[in-house]
Amino acid sequence: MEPDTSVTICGIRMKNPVMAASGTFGYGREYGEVFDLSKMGAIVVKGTTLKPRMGNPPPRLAETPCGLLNSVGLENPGIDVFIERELPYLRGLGVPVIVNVAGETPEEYAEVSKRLDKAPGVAALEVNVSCPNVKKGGMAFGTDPEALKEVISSVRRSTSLPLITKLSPNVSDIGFLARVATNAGSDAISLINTLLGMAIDVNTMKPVLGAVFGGLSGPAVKPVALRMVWEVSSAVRVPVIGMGGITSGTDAVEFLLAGASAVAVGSATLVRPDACLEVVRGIWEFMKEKGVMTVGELVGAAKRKVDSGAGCPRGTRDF
Amino acid sequence: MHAKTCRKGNINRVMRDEAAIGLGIVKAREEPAPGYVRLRLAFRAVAERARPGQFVHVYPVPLGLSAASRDAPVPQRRLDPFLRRPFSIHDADRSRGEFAILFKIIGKGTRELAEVRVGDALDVIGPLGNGFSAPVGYDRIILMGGGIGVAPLVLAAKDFAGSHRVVTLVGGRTAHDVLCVDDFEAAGAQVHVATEDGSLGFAGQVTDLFESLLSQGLRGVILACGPMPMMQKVADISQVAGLPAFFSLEDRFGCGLGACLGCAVRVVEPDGSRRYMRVCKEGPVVEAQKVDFDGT
Ligand SMILES: Cc1cc2nc3c(=O)[nH]c(=O)nc-3n(C[C@H](O)[C@H](O)[C@H](O)COP(=O)(O)OP(=O)(O)OC[C@H]3O[C@@H](n4cnc5c(N)ncnc54)[C@H](O)[C@@H]3O)c2cc1C
Ligand SMILES: Cc1cc2nc3c(=O)[nH]c(=O)nc-3n(C[C@H](O)[C@H](O)[C@H](O)COP(=O)(O)O)c2cc1C
Ligand code: FES
Repeated sequence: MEPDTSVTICGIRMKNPVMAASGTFGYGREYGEVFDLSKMGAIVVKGTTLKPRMGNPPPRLAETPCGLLNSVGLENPGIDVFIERELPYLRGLGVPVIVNVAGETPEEYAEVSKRLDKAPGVAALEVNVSCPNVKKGGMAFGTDPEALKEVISSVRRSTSLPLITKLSPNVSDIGFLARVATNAGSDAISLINTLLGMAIDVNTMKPVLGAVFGGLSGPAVKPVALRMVWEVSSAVRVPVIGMGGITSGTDAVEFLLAGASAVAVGSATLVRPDACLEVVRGIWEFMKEKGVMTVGELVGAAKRKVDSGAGCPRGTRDF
Repeated sequence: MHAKTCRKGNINRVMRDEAAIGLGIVKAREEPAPGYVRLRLAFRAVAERARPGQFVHVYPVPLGLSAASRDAPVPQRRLDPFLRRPFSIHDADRSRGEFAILFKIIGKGTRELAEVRVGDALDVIGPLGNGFSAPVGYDRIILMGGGIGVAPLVLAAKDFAGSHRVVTLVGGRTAHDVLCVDDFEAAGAQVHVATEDGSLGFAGQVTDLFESLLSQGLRGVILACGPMPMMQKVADISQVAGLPAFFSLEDRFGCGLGACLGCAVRVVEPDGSRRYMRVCKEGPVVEAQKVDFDGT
């Protein structure tokens, strides 16, 4: 018998547990020219706001050891243009489309969600309360429990679509924030968004990024992401979508073992356009080799091997 | 759309019809000047489609011969350096299925790339971007390159030689930084050189040389590549002279395909509004008057 890579998350049936991470896949078109997108688990499109946003001044990218900083700043054409011009294309791909929603106020998040609620072809919303690259809103909602509760509750009231809350790693107790989000009505949690960082060019003696700070992603953040997925999947009962530095099937399996029910691939796609498919293939090969028949058998398996079972391996807090 | 090109045991694929993704095999490597490296790569689908001003997006570490001969879809890759690096298509021999890049060693990626040997396989996507095109109504093309900015102009000189008279202005800090003069001459272009220290040709910046040639009556379409301050001067001078000018811009790239919005240059639209343009997808060639130099 062959391994079955399909998963169902918040009622969304996916051929495999691998999604394109928001902001690294545009609205899919560019990659649609490179490979067959219908083989992906799901596509999470880039952060979309009510009004068009111009984004941050260049330079917006800086490579760092085993990763990169970005300060794109949620550049997007606004929700109406998205629905009119991009959604029809995405709808035709035969892949669940998850829209990453961002805003500066709870009302803006709610309004964007309301417009998407009526738009055919949207499988779920990913509420981005973790963008480190905008001055107002963004990460502020993902680091303050009261604000988080308000945003998720108002989005919850404005749509019946499944809600995924995308959490920021720039907090001290991510498990607590995950509980706040699920108590407010979130059906799943995705993490991590990028870690706030910066780079300085010693030749010019200036910060490299036009926006000074940016978000760190790629293999450099993987250990942090994995630990946070472990913590969150121990703190909440809803499915967790893990991401941060995945470049191979083995990386993805680590996230599944840590408690993620699905994964997303971001930065790796910038290097290898079909990185998602490579990750899918790697997961399948791993399952085949280990005789694992369903993805569910892997989810959280590493935690079951740790005695405490409470999500925090014995002694990890006693440095 | 996803047709495989027939390279034995290779994984090269054609995207839509415009670009290909796969392995380029290093056929030749030379150092035209200290700190500069020219690589000739065999990758037919790229060479055949290449137009001047387009670029290839290259992972800067060779993947090794075994990767090229196996049918392994994704050869092992390092995590550091992480991203690909963009390089202009410097030359193309479409009948032999080969193209060249010329680069300056400036950092981590180019240092690694400089170490490649003949026979190595490089992971390449290309050709990407829009490329140079010449507006009708001018029979002369003026190519202007500062430093490594000459890289995309050699293929332009060759390709436009059939339809236009080509004049090339090559600038560098010293005589050592003046590259490709032989290539331009071999392409039949008239070549003028400027060095800032006066060690070769005109003493001064290439933009000073440009102004002096304009005052002698030089006219044509300007295609330029170089550092931003030079581009800004070229934009100003060509506007005053009433000549159309196009730039090949440089920026830090992520995906190189238009998806990540990491490569932004601010442009002014005809209605006066400003926005960020994706250099990799809508460029790298952009009309001079469109660039908002205050926003760079
Ligand atoms: C469309 C396009 C075509 C290009 N064509 C060529 C070419 O034909 N030949 C060539 O030599 N180079 C070309 N470049 C530039 C080339 O991509 C960079 O030099 C290369 O990516 C640097 O990689 P690195 O790892 O060696 O440098 P890094 O280690 O990344 O950087 C070294 C230093 O250079 C600075 N730097 C890096 N990239 C840039 C940049 N794009 N603009 C300004 N500063 C930068 C960094 O801040 C750092 O100080 C092109 C760029 C673009 C966008
Ligand atoms: C260029 C770039 C743009 C991004 N834009 C968004 C975005 O718009 N919304 C969002 O929620 N996350 C965004 N992210 C974060 C990714 O979706 C992902 O959470 C993060 O990069 C970690 O995964 P990775 O290491 O696989 O890239 C962006 C990341 C990058 C590199
Ligand atoms: S480099 Fe990704 S959009 Fe240009």
